[in-house]
Amino acid sequence: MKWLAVAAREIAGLFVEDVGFTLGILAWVALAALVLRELPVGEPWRAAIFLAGCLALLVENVVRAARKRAG
Amino acid sequence: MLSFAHAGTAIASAFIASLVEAVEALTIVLAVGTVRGWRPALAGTAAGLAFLALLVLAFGPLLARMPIRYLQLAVGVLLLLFGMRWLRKAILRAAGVIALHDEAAAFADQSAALRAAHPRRGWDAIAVITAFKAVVLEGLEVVFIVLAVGAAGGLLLPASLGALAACALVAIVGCAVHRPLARIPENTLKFAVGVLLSAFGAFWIGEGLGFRWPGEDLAILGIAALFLAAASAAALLARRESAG
Repeated sequence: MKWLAVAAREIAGLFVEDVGFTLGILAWVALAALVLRELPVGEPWRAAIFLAGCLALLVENVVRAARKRAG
Repeated sequence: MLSFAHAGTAIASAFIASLVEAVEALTIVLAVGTVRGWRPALAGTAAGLAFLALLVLAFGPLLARMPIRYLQLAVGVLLLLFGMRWLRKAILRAAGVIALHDEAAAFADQSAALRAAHPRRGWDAIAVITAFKAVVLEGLEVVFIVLAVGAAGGLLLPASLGALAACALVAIVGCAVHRPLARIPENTLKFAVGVLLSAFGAFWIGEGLGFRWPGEDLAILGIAALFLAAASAAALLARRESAG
């Protein structure tokens, strides 16, 4: 059974490195599905807002990681 | 109809991602072959490839049965998580925040571990398992990318061809030079793959949620360009932060 745990850890490792970052992405996707879809904004603004959120998450996390390593 | 933007980005993503993973697998298989002998190294590699082929045959048709909206959403979320994880790491490496991956050092470490392992007696299980594990673990990423990039857009064949071409290229060059391919600009390739996979992920999530992208399929090129711009800016900011 040990190899199953190792395989599961390896597969999870494909998607998760920084838990906060992964949870942030999942939360943003959930917000897009539950809230952004219902907002009274025209197309293609929903897609643009969703993409902007993904880019902001990436930049914020990278800068925070660099600051943490430096300090 | 397959659009060039889609097919081209699917092939490029599968090719570049597979190139990176194949180089990493080659390093370990070369270490096994050099230290413990080529027969167990090749046997482990062949077993690993057969296992991966079984996975594709098992999961490929299952994906095709999922309703397209759910498939787009599920594949999109996994691609976004996978792509942004790669991209984040590549940015931090490009900014000098974390160390670059060194194939020559990985080869030396693996060789030392194999030399220190139990001496071979008859069938060299350690060597076979080491090669098998390397091929399966690195190959799993390739299989995931091929299925994820190909399944949602009906592009399994072009994505598979891209991956196979990369693996064949690495195998041929590896056989010719007989040492780890340390000169491959691995982080640049990972940066590019992270950008492409993240773009695919965001695109498919948008499609799955019913958002309309401007330019439809061509939007994927624009999304990739925006991810590239944001990643480049993040690398600059991270470099500044880490320099104090």
